[in-house]
Amino acid sequence: MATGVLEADGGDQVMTPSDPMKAEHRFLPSVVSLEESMRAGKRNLSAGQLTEALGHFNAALKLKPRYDVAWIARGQVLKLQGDFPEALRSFAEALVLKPENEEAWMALGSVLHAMGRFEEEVEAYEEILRRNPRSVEALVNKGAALHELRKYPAAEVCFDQVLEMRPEYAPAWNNKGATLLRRGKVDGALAAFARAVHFDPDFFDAYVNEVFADQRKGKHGEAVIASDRALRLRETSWLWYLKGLSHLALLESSLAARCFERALELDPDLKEARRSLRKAKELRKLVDLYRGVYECFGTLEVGDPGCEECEIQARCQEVTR
Amino acid sequence: MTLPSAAEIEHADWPALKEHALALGLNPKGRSGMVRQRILDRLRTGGTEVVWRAGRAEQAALLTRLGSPDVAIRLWESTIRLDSPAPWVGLGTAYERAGRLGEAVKCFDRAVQMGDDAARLHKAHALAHGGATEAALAELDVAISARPNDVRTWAQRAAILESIGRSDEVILAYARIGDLVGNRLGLARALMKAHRFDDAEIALAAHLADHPRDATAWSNRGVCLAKRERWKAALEALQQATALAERDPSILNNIACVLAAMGKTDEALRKLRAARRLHEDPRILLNEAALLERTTPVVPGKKPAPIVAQRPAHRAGRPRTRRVARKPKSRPRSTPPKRKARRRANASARRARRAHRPRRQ
Repeated sequence: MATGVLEADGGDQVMTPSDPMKAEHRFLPSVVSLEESMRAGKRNLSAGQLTEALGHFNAALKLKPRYDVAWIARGQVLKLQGDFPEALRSFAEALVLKPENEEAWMALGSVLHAMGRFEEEVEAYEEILRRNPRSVEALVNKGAALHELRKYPAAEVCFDQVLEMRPEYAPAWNNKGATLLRRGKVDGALAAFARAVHFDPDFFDAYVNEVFADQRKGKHGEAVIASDRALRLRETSWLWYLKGLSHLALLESSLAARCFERALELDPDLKEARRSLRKAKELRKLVDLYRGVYECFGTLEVGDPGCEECEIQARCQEVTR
Repeated sequence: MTLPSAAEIEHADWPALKEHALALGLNPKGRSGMVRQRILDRLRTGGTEVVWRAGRAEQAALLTRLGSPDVAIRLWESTIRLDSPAPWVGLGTAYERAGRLGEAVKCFDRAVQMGDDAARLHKAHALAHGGATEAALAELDVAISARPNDVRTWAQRAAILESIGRSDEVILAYARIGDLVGNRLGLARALMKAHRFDDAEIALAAHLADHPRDATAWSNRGVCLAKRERWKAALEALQQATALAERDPSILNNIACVLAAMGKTDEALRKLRAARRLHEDPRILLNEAALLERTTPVVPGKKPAPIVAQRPAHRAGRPRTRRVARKPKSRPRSTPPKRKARRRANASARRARRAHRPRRQ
């Protein structure tokens, strides 16, 4: 017998990892092809070659139709290709073969989300939570799906459960804040966003949600600060537009116009920005406040040492709400 | 150049903060929170990587504060050592937060046995929390006999005595604190609560000699003088207070009360309106209603309109959406730029309702 090869109980021969070259001689042809197809499919998938990856996974399923891993991999490729019904069928096949597969339920949930079938998506996550009630991913995604269904109190319960297990989990704080904001609890939402950025200072979504909450509360000075921080992380036309609106509210016409111009540079089709730019230019004829080096303009805090010695305190007081 | 630590920046006062900003080449102007954030951002992105990581005790303390005492209890238990009373205090605090007061008291006892006198204060807090105020006071008496000049112990004693309404002893405790630190504001408030306005005024005069820029003390002095019907002196004291804290609605309300008592109703109404704009406190609204009732003649046969007195309940009962829609109509017309700004704000609020989305895993 060759070195490194063990005799299996049933008479089949099993190869050790040290002896890959002899595989063709040791295994049945179909088993070798199956593993090769799966490996090639995964390689293509990670390289972004979706058509080739799909071909390999289909080939693997021809060799072994009751192979749940191959069905999941096929579903992932189809999902990336945008063929959601077929992806859904693949994940369903995987679940028929192995109903306790958490990964398949998660994938099923994500494809249902992409199809806008949120009720069923929630059921998929509930299935995971029945088996594993401490699955943070399932709880967060269930909360997000409930949020889409406008069931905000139920969504909040999900995020609270996550935060009980992981109080430092920034996305859960952000999602809880978004839910509170939808329910009109702006102060609570702002506190949640503050927690989110405390635990993850580079959390773009939390800054953006903070902008929305501040604007809703009429705190445009704070909104400008939050949008600045978000823009440092990622530049988007609509965020420039939102920042411009806050500058308008602070009567800073030139800064507002600059924001709208930047928004239009990034997206020339943003009609709202074009309209607002016109209005900012009109406003500039009447009033145009200049903040100078004061990043915090419009956020006057009585008793703060920085505000007490500020040169533009009077104008800041005019626009602070 | 050695960079300051994040903890150092978190706790730096304003002059130190400005110095750090200048040393790092950052803009030192603006609200202190902004300057602090600016430096912390710089440390986070440009500084060297922090080698310190939170240990079990730090994690436990953080979790206790964040409101996860059950997890914190497990962590505290794993940090307990034979030579250190601190983890016992932490464990006791976590038990107290979890509502297991008996266990908490046992932990604090253990810390006291190990030589931590401050644990007595924690024990007293837990006992008072559980309703055993006499036991808590006895514990504090032991602490005071060991350290008679400890302000924290006296302050805790005053707070517990205040919660059970033993005003004479509260006054004694605050008097002791005043002797120790020279701050007699607490003593004055305790005296005012006991309706001893003469003594309160003396205490406030002594306090203001050391702290002439304390707006609260000036306001309380004004109240004391008003209670003794020395209206002119009261008005002067309150004006001093409002010069120091011009956006404090309670001071404006107090001024209005004094002005009303002096017969200057119109002026009083103006002050009350200014106070109401800052904060719609029921007390302010009721005062305004009382003054309006006094000035508005009641037409015979017609029910007088109790608009102002009922306003808080009315506003709260009204559906939120309607309130938002009606707001611009009821507001006085502003200048064109401000109207435009408000429209932007409304537009952004609509966008907020439409656009914000939760993040998915």
